[in-house]
Amino acid sequence: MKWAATGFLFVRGQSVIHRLDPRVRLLLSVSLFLMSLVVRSIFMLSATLFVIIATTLLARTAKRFFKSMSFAAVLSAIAFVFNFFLYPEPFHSAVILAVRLFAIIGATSIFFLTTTPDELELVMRWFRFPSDFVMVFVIAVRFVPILILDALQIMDAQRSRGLELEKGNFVKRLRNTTPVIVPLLATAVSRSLDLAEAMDSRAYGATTRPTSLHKMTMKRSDWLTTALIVVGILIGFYFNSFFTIF
Amino acid sequence: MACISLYSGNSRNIIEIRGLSFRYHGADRDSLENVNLEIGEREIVVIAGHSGSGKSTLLRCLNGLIPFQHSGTYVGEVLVAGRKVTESRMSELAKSVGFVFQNPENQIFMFSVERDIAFGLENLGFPREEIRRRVDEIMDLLGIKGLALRAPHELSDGQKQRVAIAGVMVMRPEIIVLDEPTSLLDPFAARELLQLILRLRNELGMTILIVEHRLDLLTRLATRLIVMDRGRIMFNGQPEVILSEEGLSNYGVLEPTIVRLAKQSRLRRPDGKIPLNVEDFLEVSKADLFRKNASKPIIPFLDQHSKNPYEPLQEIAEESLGRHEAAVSFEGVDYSRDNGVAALIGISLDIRKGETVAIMGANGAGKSTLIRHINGLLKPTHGKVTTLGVETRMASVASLSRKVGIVFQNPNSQLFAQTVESEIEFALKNFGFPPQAIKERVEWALDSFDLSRYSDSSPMELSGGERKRLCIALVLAWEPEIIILDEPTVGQDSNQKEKLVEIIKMLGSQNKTVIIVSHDVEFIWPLQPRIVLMSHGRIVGDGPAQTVLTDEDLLNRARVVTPQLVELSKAIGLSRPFPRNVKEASVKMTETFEKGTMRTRTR
Repeated sequence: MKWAATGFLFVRGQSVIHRLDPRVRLLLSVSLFLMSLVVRSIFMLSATLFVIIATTLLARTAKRFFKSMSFAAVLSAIAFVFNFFLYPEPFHSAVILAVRLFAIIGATSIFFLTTTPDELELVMRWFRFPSDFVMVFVIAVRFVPILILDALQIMDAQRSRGLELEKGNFVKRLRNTTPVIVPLLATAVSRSLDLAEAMDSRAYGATTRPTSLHKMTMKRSDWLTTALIVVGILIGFYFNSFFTIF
Repeated sequence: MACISLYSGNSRNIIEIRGLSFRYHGADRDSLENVNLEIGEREIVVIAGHSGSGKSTLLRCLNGLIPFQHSGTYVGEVLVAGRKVTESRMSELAKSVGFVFQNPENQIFMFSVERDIAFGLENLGFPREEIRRRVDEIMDLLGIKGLALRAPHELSDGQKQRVAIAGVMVMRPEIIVLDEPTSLLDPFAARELLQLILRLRNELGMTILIVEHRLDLLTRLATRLIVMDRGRIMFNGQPEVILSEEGLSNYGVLEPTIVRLAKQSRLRRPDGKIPLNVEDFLEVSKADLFRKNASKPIIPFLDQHSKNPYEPLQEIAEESLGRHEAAVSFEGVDYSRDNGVAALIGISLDIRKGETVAIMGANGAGKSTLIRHINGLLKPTHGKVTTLGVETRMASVASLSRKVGIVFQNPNSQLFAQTVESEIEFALKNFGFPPQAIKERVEWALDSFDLSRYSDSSPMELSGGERKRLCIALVLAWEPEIIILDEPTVGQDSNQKEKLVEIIKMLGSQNKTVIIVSHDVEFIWPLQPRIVLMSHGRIVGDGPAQTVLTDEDLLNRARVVTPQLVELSKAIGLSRPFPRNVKEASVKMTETFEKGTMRTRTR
């Protein structure tokens, strides 16, 4: 639980990748995602995976990346076992499928590991998501860790009253969660009421198109990176037509 | 004084309330009853009263939260900056009235300080350059420029509250309304915040309305004190006039120590008003002494006939304790959180059976982490914790909790049952008490804590103070040997605090081990327990209150404020041991006067 709470809290970075415009980062992530999806050969897939890992190293998020990728590795292993043993596929295609899954998750995590919720919000607004929708998203991301900490507090309090969460059969355990869930809901509701008051008191909804303090601007490095990504995609597709199996 | 002339010399009213009554939808009584109030420009208005007296409701009528967000029956009219609230839009009102709420966490939405401060201006559609300029300006003014890019979870509560203030100030409102802005802060951070608010007011000259229990800092600068009760305004006037009234504590007003001491010693300024600062106080007490000396025999300040009311309670207790066995012992305990942050460093501590100990320190000093080791909720990273002879690593939380009862800070984070009765039963069932015993203990708890009439009600129907009592009752019901109270006074009014003192004294007399975790020095000082002072995960002071809580350097380093009585005793030159309460202070002053050792210098 605690791990989940800290996982949500974004860690600010200073790397070249972090300094890119979030839209370019999104483009990078999406291109690698698509690449992992469409390439056919094990060689091309390895190349894509190589780029993904290289980007992670550049972003200096390798530690967190591999932490979350351990989960992806397990998924990939399961996929391999299913495909190779249970659903007879040739060995190499089972491997490709497993690596592909791994690469897809890796490509997605590049964007999410390097992007602050603030930047994510700016990107959402750039894509013209409705204002209320963006705000719901922002508040959800902001308050998930707070609610997890609330839940931990409540569990401490109830365990101090002799509640043993892990005791008994399934039904008993399910019933044991009531003393945690009820106060958690009450706390969440009271937080949301406070929030509503605070937002209204700060002119929320005064205009349908609010302005923003921060603006995303494409620097020269951003354009260069974009060009590089496009070239990479083109090269990828070119080679992809050569290497069909290996 | 300048502020008084400000008040009386006002030509324009910025707030006018006429015949305002309001009843929340579904409530059975009015939260505001025929309120009439006029407030001039640049006034500093302090509003006091019990919880539920209508203070918060009144504030919410000023920026339109009432009636726009809370529906109900609304009679009368409210004019703010010449604009009728009911005929304005909330977003318009937000420009004239800035609202700062109690809970620092729930009023910050964005992921960086500067984005959050910009929130209001963004909503109003200000151009980017203007927002940038204003946000920078306000961060400079509040001294939070260095925090601009921090995320909310990287801020302390005091810093969060500053950000909240910046977020409303940036809209340049004419009025700032603050609803108990310091009640969740520790006193040190609270003092800093109040000083900041007063400084802002002096520099920018807006009108301030503040609901606040800590009157000692505010009364000197406030132009007006309003006391509310059951939706009505009971008192409304200059602080020195209102505070001269008797019986204010019945309305939940926490009088500054100097006012209580002046009342106890029957001291008044020549104009009949109560002295509000040490200089005034010394002046009138000197004058009083001259007068008394002229017509000798009466002992001037002695109110009661008590000979020596400040017998050293603690020492008697220590003697009777002797060399009793340890209730809790920490041996070289370190504790690191999952993220590697050290929360406890090298803690060695012995608490004996029957002892009353207060663990004090600023928010984030490690107090809560420390007590969670006593019933095994947390296990030390290094070292060991022994509770009543059992090493906590070797026992389950449930088995330790049978002997260690923790009353957590926030009642809302544990009450869940349908009825008050079943709330008390919960732990007793978990600990496997037989049905007959459960019945008896529930009855005992309901009786002793004056909750019998609520036995079948939902805990959610209780008031804040009653919920707190319930949380104490449900812990005492299983008769733990060690009782831990985690910040018992947070969010409690003066009446409730008095009840808490009684409970703690009762537990002490039953020879229970009582551990109070608190940053509230005014609450702890009269109890005179052993003080364990914490700062940044370490114990930096351990000893009797008379030693630890009078060491100003030590307290400053640990970000704990000095008790008002200690400060006052030092200012008027009383000798040690310092008085525990105003009654003792009054007696001691008399003695000092008679010996002629009273300091005659006024600052």
